[in-house]
Order: sequence, then C-alpha cells, then structure tokens
Amino acid sequence: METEMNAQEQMDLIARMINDSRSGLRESGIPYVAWGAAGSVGTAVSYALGAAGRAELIMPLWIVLAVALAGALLAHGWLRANKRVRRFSTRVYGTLWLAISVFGIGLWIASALPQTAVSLGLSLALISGMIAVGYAVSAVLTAWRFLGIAAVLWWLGGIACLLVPGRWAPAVVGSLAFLLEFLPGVYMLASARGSGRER
Amino acid sequence: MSGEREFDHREIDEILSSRIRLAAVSLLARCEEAEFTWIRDQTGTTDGNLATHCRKLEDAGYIAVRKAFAGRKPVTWYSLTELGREALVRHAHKLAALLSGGAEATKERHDE
Repeated sequence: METEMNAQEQMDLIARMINDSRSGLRESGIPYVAWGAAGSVGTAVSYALGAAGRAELIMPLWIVLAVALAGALLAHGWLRANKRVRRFSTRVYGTLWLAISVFGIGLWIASALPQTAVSLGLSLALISGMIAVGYAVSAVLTAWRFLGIAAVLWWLGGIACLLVPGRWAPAVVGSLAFLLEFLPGVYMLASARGSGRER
Repeated sequence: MSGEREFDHREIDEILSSRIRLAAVSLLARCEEAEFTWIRDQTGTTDGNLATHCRKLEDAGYIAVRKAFAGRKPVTWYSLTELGREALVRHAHKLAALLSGGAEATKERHDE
C-alpha cells in the first residue's frame, strides 16, 4: 500500500531520481585515471631512459603503454556496455574521447616518423588543444566546473608546448596528464563511490 | 483571495501520482533505456509491484518496452516515450506552481 506524497515530496523524488542517474558519467573516472597514469609515468620513464642513454627504448615503451591502455579501455568499455542502463550522454562521452584518442595517437605517430613536418612540440600542443576540447564538452555534460577549469589549463598547456624548447614539451604534457587527467579521474571515482555510499 | 486561481486536483496526472511510477518515469527521463531490474533496484520495490506499475505506464503510453535476450536470459528494457516526457514536465510544472502558490499564500498570511 503506497502512502500519498505531497507536492514537495514529489518534487524531491523527481530531483533525486534524476540526480541518481547522473552518476553514470562519474563512473568514467577510470579512463581518466588510466590515461593520466600512462601519460605521466610514460613521460617520466622516457626522460629517465634518455638520461641513462637508452633513448632507443622510449618508442617501444610508448607502444607497450598504448597497447596496454587500449586493452584496459576496451575492457572497461565492455564492462560498461554490460550495465543495465543506457544513456545518450555516456555514448557522447565515449565517442568524444575515442575521437580525441585516435587523433592524438595519429599525430604522435606522425611526429615520430623520420621525415615528418610535425615537430614534437607542435604535435603535443595540438594534442593538448584536443584534450581541452574534450574537457570542455565533458564539463557541459557533467555540469562540473572543475572540468571546465581543466579545459582552460589544457589550452594553456598547449600554448606552453609551443613556447618551451622542444625537449621540454613532453614534460609539460606529462605534468598536465598527472594534474588534469589522473587527479580528476581519482576525484570522479571518489565522488561516484561517495554518492554510492549515500544511497 | 483576489484573482488567484484555485487549485484543481483534476489537473494532477493520476498516472504520475504514484511514488513508484513517478520514480520510474523520472529515472527514465535521463536514460535512453533502462533494464527492469535496474529500475527495480533504484526504486527499491519488488518485481511484481514494479511490473504492475510499468504496465500502467505502458498502457498510458508513457513508457515503451523492448524485450531482448542477454545470452539465454530474457531482459526487459524500458524507455520514456515523448508522451511520457511531456507528462513528466507538465507534472513537474504543476507541482512547482502548486508549491510556489502555497509559499505565496503562507507569505500573505504571515504579512497579515
């Protein structure tokens, strides 16, 4: 037997149900953590390899990281696809970041070719700009101001890549990957778990 | 009471006056589609209870049903129809108007 609800209770119920279903986007903190960890750790190890005179290992390292990351993200996507609810915003999210990833990897490969017209600094600046677009759209989808701030910082990072000497451009992107990918990802995961506990 | 319009209970959508039906429609408002068991878990109701409410929503044309199979297991997916979306928006507007009317009436009484 259902008890009758007054108008305020009904409004509260509508708001609660709509907010609950928003948590789906917050679960995508995992790809952010994966990208951020791969980008920052990969950059740090690359500099260490360069300093140790083992620069020939840098490209294989990134290939291994890219394959591991793609595998992890595909597995994550498959697990998400098994979920019991489908949202348009989640699809937009996935497609957006997939497109950015394809663009970024393509540009990175182009910049690594022997006779390339794209310098490492320019390619990292363009990749940063695309990531900024991803964050800006994500900020609108999730209504999180934090992601909007991250978008602005990625744009600034992209500009910085054009201004610093080429060998330091990866350091800029690696730092941003840690600060603006890894940490926001951890924050998203923590928020999703926190809202899960509240229920 | 000057030109203030009296509240007419007939304006409230009977279909959405149930807690479970309102919760189900609100949940579906932010999804393309959702599985029966997900709605059940979110609303904290039982299979039989939710099935009855979903049938009412379906009969009213507020939700659409799609049957599928996950392996050998039958799965029921629900989605909100355009009619259901309009009904939820209309219902929320009515509630908001009712609440703001109530707040104004309280304020008027307080001012007197």
